[in-house]
Amino acid sequence: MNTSHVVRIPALTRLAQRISDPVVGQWLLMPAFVWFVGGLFLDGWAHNHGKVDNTFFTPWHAVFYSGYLAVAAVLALLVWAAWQRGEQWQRALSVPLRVALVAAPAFGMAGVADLWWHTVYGFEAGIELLVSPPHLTLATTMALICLAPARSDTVARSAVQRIPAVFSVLCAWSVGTFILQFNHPFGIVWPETSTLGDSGMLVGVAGLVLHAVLTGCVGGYMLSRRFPRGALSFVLVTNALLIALMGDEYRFAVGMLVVGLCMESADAFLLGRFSAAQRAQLRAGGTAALTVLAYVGVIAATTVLQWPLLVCLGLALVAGYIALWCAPMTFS
Amino acid sequence: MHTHPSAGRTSWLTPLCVLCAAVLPGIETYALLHRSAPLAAVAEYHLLSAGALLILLLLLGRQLSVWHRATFAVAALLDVAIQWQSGAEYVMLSVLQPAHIIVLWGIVRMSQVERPQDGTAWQLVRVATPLLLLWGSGAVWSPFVTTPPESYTGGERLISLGMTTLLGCVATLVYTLLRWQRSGASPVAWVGAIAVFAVQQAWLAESVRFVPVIVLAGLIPMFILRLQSAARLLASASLAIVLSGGVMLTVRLTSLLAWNITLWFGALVLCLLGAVALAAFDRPTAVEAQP
Repeated sequence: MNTSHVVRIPALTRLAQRISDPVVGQWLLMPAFVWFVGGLFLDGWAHNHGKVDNTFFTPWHAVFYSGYLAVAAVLALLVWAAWQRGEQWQRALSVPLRVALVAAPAFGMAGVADLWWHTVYGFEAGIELLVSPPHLTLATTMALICLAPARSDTVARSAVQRIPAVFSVLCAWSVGTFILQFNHPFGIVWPETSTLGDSGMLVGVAGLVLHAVLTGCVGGYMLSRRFPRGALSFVLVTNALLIALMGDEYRFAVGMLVVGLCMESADAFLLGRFSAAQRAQLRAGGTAALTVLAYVGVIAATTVLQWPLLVCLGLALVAGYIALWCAPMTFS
Repeated sequence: MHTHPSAGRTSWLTPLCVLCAAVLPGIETYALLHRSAPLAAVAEYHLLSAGALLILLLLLGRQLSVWHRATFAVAALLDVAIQWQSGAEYVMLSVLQPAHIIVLWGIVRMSQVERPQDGTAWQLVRVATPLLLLWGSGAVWSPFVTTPPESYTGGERLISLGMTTLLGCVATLVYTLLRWQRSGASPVAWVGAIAVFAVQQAWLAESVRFVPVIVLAGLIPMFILRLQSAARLLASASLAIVLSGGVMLTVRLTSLLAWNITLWFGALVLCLLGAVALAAFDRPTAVEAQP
């Protein structure tokens, strides 16, 4: 698009140049993401605690969708900055931001679809609520938007400059765990209530292994990308607290803090002793196995662990080994 | 993957031994699931798995480090000792025992040993072994054995189990597909692995109704990748759609589908998203990245 005919105000152009800095853009997005994802979990908390009735227009939805508008406003600001500098946003913005720019209006349309869905089909409960077509579309577009800063991140930046990328990983992963909360081990604590031969143990094992492997992948990714020290612990603890909002199981945040601290400490030991591929495997596998151990450890320390100890140890090995196989995906 | 020009003359005996070792844990699970063997025989099945691993260590152990060989040997002996002493009343106690997990790990490790002269037989074993062990030993979590949309007629916990196991199975198959494609292995290896996997699952479930679904879910992405080797996203997505949709459609046609359309759609889309995410984040392993 030829913008040479546009009269440019120098002050606005300087502002646009400042905003166009990739790091500045990410810092602008960060609080919007916190608002956006915070609104999501606030709505989830309300649903799980009986604070909603059969209407789309709740205070929780207001927080959530206003967070979306904040994100959309920042994205629009980034497009404006590119235009103000006489560039096309299709070329000026990074690929992840362009993906976010496509996902943002898609999210808006999914929100409208959600309003229609609830109007026609009413308000579901439980797993159906999570996996309805509009909700899955909302979650997918939301994750694509939130991932933009992390995908634009580079190892060369300073620790402070990478803080938005840390929040990006946290937000995107939290959206995923929100949709999968129906089998999240921090939701229904099956090792407390189910025993051998009980279908609850089948469910608990499946959910624990799945989420431990996902945690392993996140841990492997963050450690391999050399995020600032403490970033992994922050992400693990905050995600655990967000999920805890659903079922009031805040104790597992302590376990995830231990996992984060152990893995970040161990990572310093790994450097220089193993090849890059082996380090990636140990990071992902170690995080996954420690997640299982921390989980059952918290249960044993606070209530009664019904599952046999050997089974818990075996699960840690299973989760660690599966995450180890996924390590190439966390390492580039 | 490196293959020697004379790959066709590779011995078939060693890969057959690995394949047999990969099938053994599934036999134990079958016996426990269908109560066709006394519980006292559980230790004997573990003796078979452990014995198979020790034989493989003799055949292939030279290509592993001393640490690996020692770990697997000790785990094999411990597995038998623990099972003999404690017995197992439930499948999960037998399957999730740590020494047994390491024995399975050892069998997978044996199957992944790379040698320049490896032929199609070894390629098939390399693809099939992790699948057979995971969904053979873990058959109680297999969506083809404990079919979620039919058996679990209600209740959040069982719908949750169905969704999770379906997602896990799709993710496993997509991952295996990606590894096969990046390794440059023969299509015969992939087709053979899918066929063996389908037969195993049919035997464990004592029903052949999911065999067409598994075979189709394996063949369609293979053809996509043969046409366009870079189309990993599309191939993974097709596998997810065919497998998850096929499972639910099969149940609908053969008995009662207890899931409503929202759950059906939700399961399919979750599997699709998982498959696409796996394909998008997939990177070659250190071995695959070698020219």
